[in-house]
Amino acid sequence: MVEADPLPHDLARLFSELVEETITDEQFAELDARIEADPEVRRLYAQYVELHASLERRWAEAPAPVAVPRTARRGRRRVVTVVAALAATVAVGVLLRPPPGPGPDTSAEAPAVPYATLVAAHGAVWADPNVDLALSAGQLPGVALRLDAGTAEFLLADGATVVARGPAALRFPARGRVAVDLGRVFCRCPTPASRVVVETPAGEVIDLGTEFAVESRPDRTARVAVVSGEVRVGSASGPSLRKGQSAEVRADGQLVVRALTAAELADLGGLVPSAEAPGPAGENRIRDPGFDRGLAADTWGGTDGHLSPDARGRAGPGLRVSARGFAAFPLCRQWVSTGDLGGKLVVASVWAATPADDPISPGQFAGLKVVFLDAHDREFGFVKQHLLTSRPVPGRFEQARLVAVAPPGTAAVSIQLILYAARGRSGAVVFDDAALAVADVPPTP
Amino acid sequence: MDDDRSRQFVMLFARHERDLYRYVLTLLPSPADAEDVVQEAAAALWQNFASFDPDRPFLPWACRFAYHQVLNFRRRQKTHRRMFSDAAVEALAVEWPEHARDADSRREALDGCLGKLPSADRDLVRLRYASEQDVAVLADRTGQTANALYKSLQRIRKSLMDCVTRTLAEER
Repeated sequence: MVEADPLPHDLARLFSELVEETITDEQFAELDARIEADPEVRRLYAQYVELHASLERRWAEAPAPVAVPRTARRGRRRVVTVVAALAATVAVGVLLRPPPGPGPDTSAEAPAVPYATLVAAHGAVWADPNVDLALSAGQLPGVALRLDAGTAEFLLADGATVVARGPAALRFPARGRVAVDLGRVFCRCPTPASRVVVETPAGEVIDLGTEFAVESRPDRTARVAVVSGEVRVGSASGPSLRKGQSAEVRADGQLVVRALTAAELADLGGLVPSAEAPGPAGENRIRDPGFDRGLAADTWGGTDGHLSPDARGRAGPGLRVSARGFAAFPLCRQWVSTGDLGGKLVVASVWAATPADDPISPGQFAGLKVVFLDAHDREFGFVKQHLLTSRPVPGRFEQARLVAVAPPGTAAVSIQLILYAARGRSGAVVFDDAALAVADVPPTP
Repeated sequence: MDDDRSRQFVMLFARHERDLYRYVLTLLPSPADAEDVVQEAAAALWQNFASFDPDRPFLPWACRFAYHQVLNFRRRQKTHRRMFSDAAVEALAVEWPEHARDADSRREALDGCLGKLPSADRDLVRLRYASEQDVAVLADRTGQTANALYKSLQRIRKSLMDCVTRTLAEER
């Protein structure tokens, strides 16, 4: 049972003094007595410790937002390393972490309904790590998003897909509009309602039902390449570009149109949405990928009481993750030791369907999440993708596929299959045929 | 112990070390003490891994060993450390599996709640947890009083805990 009552202020003070190790003897005696006497205090205390340890783990060893030399506080010792030494079987990698640079203030007001939602991020490094937190929480900061590296895939409110490749600076100033101040984006607008306008310093690119790419350069020129359909450049009455055409847009607005070359098409290949990105057909690192053994100590685990084998998998058994009116985000997961993966391409996929006897309702969906862990089993990055988001047909399986470049220092990954059970007492998802493969990043054409 | 068994132990321990640390940290108020006990528990688990039944979950088995290590630690350190009473520790240990039941959901909700914090609060909590420095040192470096920083961190952690609780309640 989850209570919605807030943490009482007096307990918040005692808990805080305890974890900061500033608690007085009198306060400690009071806390000890209350923990001993009151199960509710024990519940709140256990949750507070969980929160504190989660924060500690999330940011342990991360660079601080201001330059402060490390000296005083005693960091957590690395127990896994000790165990690894005992067992003498696991190679221990080196901890590195992409440095978060100074970035924009993300406190500006976001629209009530996000104009865009981040659905996948592949090796994405944001100039401001707070942007990543906000995007991962389904929010869209009302400031320019500065993507230093990697790719980020957004789903717009009306169904268009925008994939950005870093370095890039982009904004979503209004519904159906993306402003690309710098860098490249690929847009796919599958329906008339989903058409988008791309704003660049060189002018607008207006979609007429198509797939196209736009590159915005620092000198206020731009390049537009149309893969299919048609766009107008400059304004609604401006010249049009059709499938197979590419145009240089000069700073004065003049266009130089030419045929789209094979090299440009190959270059655009790195920006296609993740579900269609090329990936390796390497060894599947998942143990029991088809859930044939159900739950076992050395394979799949997760949220107790919400996981069960299901005979109606995609081909044979699958694993059912159910809301059952309790957990907000029940999940199953598998920890996979990979050795040093830094800079390698990681491709993860899974099939999922909602069962006819306990279908998910609007607002509920499934997710595939790959969490990167360092040699000390600390999480220091993740990518995720949602599926079953658009009124899925019960029993019909969909595939989610993530392609990401593992951050330096990756020694293991946790693959997580999540049911986002928002505001639902019921609803379930059956997962099947999970895969995790690793390959070298192909050279840029 | 053969290589496969060794590898299985390392894999299981790495997978559950975080939960084991939280379990011990709940019973011992000092993070440094909790770290010491988890290390001792790791050695004990390794020495006794032959008795582990791979068809049963690892964490409850590991927690039993860790609990005994906690009791041993308390006996050794009783006159030197601030400790919860025996009754409090026993009650916390017995109820911990129930408290930890929705830990995955709470961690997932925490992602969203961090994103909702004002940026100044996010920066402060990140500074506190990323720098591994005492608040007194951080206060000196940031030009604030230690008391003001402590109060801010107390407020932010309460805000995050309330947000996580509210998020899970709304999902019901």
